[in-house]
Amino acid sequence: MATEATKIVVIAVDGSEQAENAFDFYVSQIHRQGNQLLLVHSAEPPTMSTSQAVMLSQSVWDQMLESEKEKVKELEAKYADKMRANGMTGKIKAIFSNKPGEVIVDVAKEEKAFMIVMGTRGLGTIRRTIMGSVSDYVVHHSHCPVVVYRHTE
Amino acid sequence: MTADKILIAVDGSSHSDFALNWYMKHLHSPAHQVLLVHCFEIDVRLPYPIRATLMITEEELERTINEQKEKASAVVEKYRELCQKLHLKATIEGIEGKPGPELVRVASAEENCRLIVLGTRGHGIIRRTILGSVSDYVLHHSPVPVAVCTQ
Repeated sequence: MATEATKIVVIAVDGSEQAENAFDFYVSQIHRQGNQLLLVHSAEPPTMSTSQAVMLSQSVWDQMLESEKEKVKELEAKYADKMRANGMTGKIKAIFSNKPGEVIVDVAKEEKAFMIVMGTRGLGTIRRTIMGSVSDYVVHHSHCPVVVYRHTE
Repeated sequence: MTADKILIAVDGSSHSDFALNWYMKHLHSPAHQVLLVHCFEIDVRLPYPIRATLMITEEELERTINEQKEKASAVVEKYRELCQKLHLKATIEGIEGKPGPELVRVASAEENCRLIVLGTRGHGIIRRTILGSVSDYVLHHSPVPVAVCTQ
């Protein structure tokens, strides 16, 4: 159909409100006709301490995994609706990883995105208490410009 | 209704040029009002060894200050021309002060500032970091979203 190179925008989303704000900001201020969205959901696999894991039965673990997958499906549905409502074309890629920064950078590189959009605070687990560590990583390792949506309180 | 303002920080370096060009190519729309800001610090430390500085005349001091101010004006002029070439109607300002804090101050003060655009680094001497000190500062203190233009 189109002969010119597709312009891909990677938007990093998790289940957080800030990711949604970043998405909305993109829609209202940045989006241009012709941009194709690629939403990257870098989800953390369920984690627990080793002692807990030893006590866990397979079925409970399976349940946890299932509920994580459910959350991902809900998120995808939510953002698919938002894209549709704004007349945008896009895909969603969900990848389980405990290195979300790397995932975002790698996907953007593979897909030859020309821009990454993301927030600074997501749903990070307690051990990643350094604010904005994922956005920091992405800004330092990205191959293309990054729009960082800052939280304002 | 006041238009949405976009603040683009420039320092005359190739990184700033890249940021401006990238903004024009991918982000700009007629609905955006663009404010180009060149923040510069006047440095009154002269590159002489400490014994000689005691002998600096007021004249020399004035000269070095004026030189730097002229350099800043030249940068502002450069972007005025670049904007004309890009057919971009923008307000271009030179502001004296520490770049990081000044940019944050301007973004807060300007009504409807929606985004700060800048390069990853500028003319800075220390090149061991990926992100220059100004970009780093703005990224962590900005009241609005920041577009860091990585090349």
